[in-house]
Amino acid sequence: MSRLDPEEVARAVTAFINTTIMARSHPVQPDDDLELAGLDSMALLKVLLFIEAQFGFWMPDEDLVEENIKTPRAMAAYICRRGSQS
Amino acid sequence: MNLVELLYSSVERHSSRRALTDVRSGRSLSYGQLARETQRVAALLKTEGVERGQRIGLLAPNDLAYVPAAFGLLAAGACMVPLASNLTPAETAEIVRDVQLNGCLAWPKADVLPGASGAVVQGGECDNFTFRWLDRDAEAPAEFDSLNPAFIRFTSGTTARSKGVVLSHEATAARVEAADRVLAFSEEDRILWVLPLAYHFAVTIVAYVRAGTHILMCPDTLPRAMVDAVQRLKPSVLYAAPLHFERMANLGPSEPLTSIRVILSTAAPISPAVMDRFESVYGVPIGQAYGIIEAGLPCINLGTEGLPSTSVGRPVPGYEVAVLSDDGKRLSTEDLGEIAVRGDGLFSAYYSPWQLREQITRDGWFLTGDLGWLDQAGALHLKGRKKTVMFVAGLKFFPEEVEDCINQFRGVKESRVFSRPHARMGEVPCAEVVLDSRGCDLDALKTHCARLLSSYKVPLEFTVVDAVPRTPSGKIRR
Repeated sequence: MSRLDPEEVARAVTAFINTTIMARSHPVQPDDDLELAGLDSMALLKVLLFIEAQFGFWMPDEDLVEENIKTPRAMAAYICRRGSQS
Repeated sequence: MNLVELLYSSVERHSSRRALTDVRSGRSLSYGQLARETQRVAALLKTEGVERGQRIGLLAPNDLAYVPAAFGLLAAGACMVPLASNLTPAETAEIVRDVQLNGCLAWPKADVLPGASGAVVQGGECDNFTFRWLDRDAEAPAEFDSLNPAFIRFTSGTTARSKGVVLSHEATAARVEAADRVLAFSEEDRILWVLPLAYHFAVTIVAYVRAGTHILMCPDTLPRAMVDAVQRLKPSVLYAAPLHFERMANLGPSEPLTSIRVILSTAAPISPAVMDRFESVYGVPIGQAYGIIEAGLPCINLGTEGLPSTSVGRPVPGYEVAVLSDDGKRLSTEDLGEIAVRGDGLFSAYYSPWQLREQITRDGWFLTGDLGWLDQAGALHLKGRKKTVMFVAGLKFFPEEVEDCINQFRGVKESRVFSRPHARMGEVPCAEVVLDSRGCDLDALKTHCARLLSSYKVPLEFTVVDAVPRTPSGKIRR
């Protein structure tokens, strides 16, 4: 896998959330708290499917902790860490 | 009868005991407080002129306030129509239209439905909930009121045909009684609650309240948080969806969950591998129930009676279950056919289009559309379904609804929605679209679907094809 750019990944995650989950309400920004923005557990699963399709791994449940999923940027940081390990 | 009487009789026995606790904030309501909050909501609705038999929506999140708001609606004589908070405005508007909703009680942050400005609950647990009329004079079909309706429920998916399952106070009480005879809830029970109240208040929460249990609402449904909550709060009952159990099991070695006496999986079929893994990690077997919105829980397998874990159990007292052939004849043990259910817990009517239960059932039997067989021990085994329902992470929907949405989009000629198995999600929806000469932008199509459909229904992949595969009779092949 080529080296991932955290900025670019954060933009991709944010864009995915805005087009397929938040399509009918306010768009989120990379640093927004996703729970406060109204993302429920089903929406989080959609994001996990997106990550699986785009970055080739399923984010395991033990990693679903606040520091990894609070904001699109936190997710991007996690994805880049994982990406650089493989 | 009115189901709120079950709450009031619990209050007589357990007034100072805790009824509900929010696990995150630690806030609780005692049975006495729950009854007072219920009366506060009911008083406002009565002052506004809500009458028996009116259809009133409830739009509120999975929170302590949901319970007194729901009981308050029932106490005011209204027929409650749960409006799940994960529905899109378009989906909510469809329900409003289908059941000719008279009014709506909504929590303070709800998207405002159209209607006259509302009356506001002052103080208490439902502080700032607003009641507003939408179509005060809309009249229900003539027989509606005589059914003593308590709820009109929608599955998490909707079919193109029958919508809005009407459940009377009596049928709900029969379901509560039947489930209680197997699950034997008592005031000693502590329930860890992780499911959406909009789909489960009607029977499950009423059953817990009737028994005087303590309901622990756990807003965080990530697997680690659920395991932590069980270890910290020591509940005796956990009722959740297959995906919750699968993800908990995936966390790996744990102390046994010794406080739990009943674990029940609901909402979607659970795989035997998940049940085995969960039991080996946590030392407690998962039971499963056969749940149908029209019939309640006619079968329960607690997982402790030696029945095969792949079975959904024997019929619960109060229900009869039969397996029928295509021409409606009762089949013998071990023969595969359509599952039929009979009992006092059956629904009362479909609202839209209006059809009484008697018009749909045959000799009292409701044909479920599910296929299965009964074993020698009288336990039921499920084996697929006649309908095209899909399950994504325990939530149900019908592919036709998604196809209708896709087909509305400019440039789409027709489409086919089908599922692809997914290791974690059960199934994920995918779509094939046939474009007309105008063509279309697939990203824009995806956004169009996300606007109109709940996110779990939006296909993960869209593929352009030349034609949709059909059966010889012209039905879409899935």
